[in-house]
Amino acid sequence: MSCDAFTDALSDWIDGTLPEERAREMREHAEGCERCRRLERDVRAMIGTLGELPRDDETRPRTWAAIEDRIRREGGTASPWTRWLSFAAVLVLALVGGWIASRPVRHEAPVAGAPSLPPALASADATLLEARAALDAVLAARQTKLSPETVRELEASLAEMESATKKIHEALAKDPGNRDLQKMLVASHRRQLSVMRDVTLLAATQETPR
Amino acid sequence: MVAGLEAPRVGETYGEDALVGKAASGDLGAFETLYRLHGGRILALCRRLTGDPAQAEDCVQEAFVKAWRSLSSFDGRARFSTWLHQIAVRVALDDRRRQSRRPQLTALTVAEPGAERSSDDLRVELERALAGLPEAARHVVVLHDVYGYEHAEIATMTGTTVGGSRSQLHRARLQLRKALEGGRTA
Repeated sequence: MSCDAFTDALSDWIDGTLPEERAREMREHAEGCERCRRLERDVRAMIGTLGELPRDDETRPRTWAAIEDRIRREGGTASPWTRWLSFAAVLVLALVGGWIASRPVRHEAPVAGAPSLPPALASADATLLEARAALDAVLAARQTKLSPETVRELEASLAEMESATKKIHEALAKDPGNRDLQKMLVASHRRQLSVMRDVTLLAATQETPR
Repeated sequence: MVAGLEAPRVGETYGEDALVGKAASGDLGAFETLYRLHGGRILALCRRLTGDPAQAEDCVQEAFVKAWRSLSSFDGRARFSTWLHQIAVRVALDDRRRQSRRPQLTALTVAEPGAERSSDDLRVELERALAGLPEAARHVVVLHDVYGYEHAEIATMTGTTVGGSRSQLHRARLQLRKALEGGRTA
């Protein structure tokens, strides 16, 4: 075996991936060649030291500050319940928007003395207001403890859902007997109520972030 | 599991599961604690892969921001440290910014012929020599010889083949040895 061949196969030999016959040739060559024996010794020692290099560097305080700043600025992964709330708001908007877009445009002014909402819907409105009040109370109690970004996202999503509901109310005011609109309002109420109750529970149990 | 990663400290694994869960729920304070536990290791990895302290800092930041964004996809089958380690490796290897910078080449101590080095001296010189390697060579030596990745894993991460990774490692080791010998021909 030549010294060049020995050098070429050195890493495979040290890493144990050579066939036994080839490994034997390497051992025999090293025994008879000081230069190659020294090369083998040096590379083995170097690999050993590489494997023992410290795994930890000392971090700088500013590194976490920079990470935190980026996370807060760029948003990153919102907490699951705020993402869910955003999705719910989009869903309600899509339902309402799609229905309203499909209706012919009405330009009649509301008729004086038009009938008010059926009692069931009026009661649903009241329930929704109670749920919103409960959520507001929880948020007020925890506002200083939730991140400003979280509160902003939450309030924006709630505002979107309330805007969608308002559109239905406006349409119903012009056409109070419209059963499709009434069903739409019920569906919107149920969705908002469910989301607000779940968010209230989550907000009340969420641990204080640092 | 990547060979060479340190065993968890007592209580770390179970406490860490809770931290990861809290962080995944949006608790930035829990995530900061995870940073305190793992930031040093990730910094060392990034420093060795990038060969540049400033790039290493950027790499650490990017790795942790990516980890924060991806927490919902962490399924707990691997250890959190392993998952985070792999994110950091991808960030370091993908860092386009390093193309505009050159690795810092520092002068090596030329050993007196026949002089014995202490193990501390060898570690210091080895770190310097690593930083001075060409990028591809540095990546494979760091991943294989320092952190214990297999060639198949390295090939996947670097976009090469197993054979390419082996060849690159061999050339890198000879280059390192040459650097440590102060330029004497191997």
